[in-house]
Amino acid sequence: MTFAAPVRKLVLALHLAVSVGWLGAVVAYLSLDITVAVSADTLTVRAGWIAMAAIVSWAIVPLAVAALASGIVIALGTPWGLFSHWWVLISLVLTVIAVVVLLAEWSVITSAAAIASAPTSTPAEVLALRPTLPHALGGLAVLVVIQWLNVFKPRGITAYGWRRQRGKSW
Amino acid sequence: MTQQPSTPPDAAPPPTPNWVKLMVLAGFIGLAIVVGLTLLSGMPHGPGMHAP
Repeated sequence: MTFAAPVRKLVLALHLAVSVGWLGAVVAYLSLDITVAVSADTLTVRAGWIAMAAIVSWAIVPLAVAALASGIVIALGTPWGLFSHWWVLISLVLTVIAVVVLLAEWSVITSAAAIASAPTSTPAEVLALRPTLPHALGGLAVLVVIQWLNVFKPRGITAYGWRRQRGKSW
Repeated sequence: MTQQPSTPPDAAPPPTPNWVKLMVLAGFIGLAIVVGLTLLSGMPHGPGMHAP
């Protein structure tokens, strides 16, 4: 099934908006993550964790799920398919990995924010909270690679895509 | 007269492109770096490793 041009453009516009929004939200999150990693000021670190939890809960997670869903829809609704071309397949695998890691990390971040926002937590407890820099940097790198794949669409057809093409032509 | 297909029916599928192999290799290296950094940042500090 392939979409008519207006539907395809609408889904593509939605997919672009949420994908680029996800990337931007991760950059905003990363700036706060660096702040809590380098700051020794308890109030700054408390505020940083609370803001990080809000960005993850209200921006990154919804945008990530929307990017995954809209990406699957647009792949299935165009001749590219979901498993026929390497760049689409790798984009899908990387996005699924990014979403799974994000969902696992989500509870860690909200727990840290709960400690940071608790009036009873001591400055030592707040400053001991471990930043999520490796995951944030890794996630940003993965998103940049996905963007690159989606813009350049490097050539290469999978064995499944090759069989599908032959099935149509024979 | 029927048109001849461009490839015979028993032709092998195309080989995996080099950029795919490179990307998979880079993925494993990146994963190892992230896991290593996560483990390192989670290691307890020993005596003398704390900032004053």
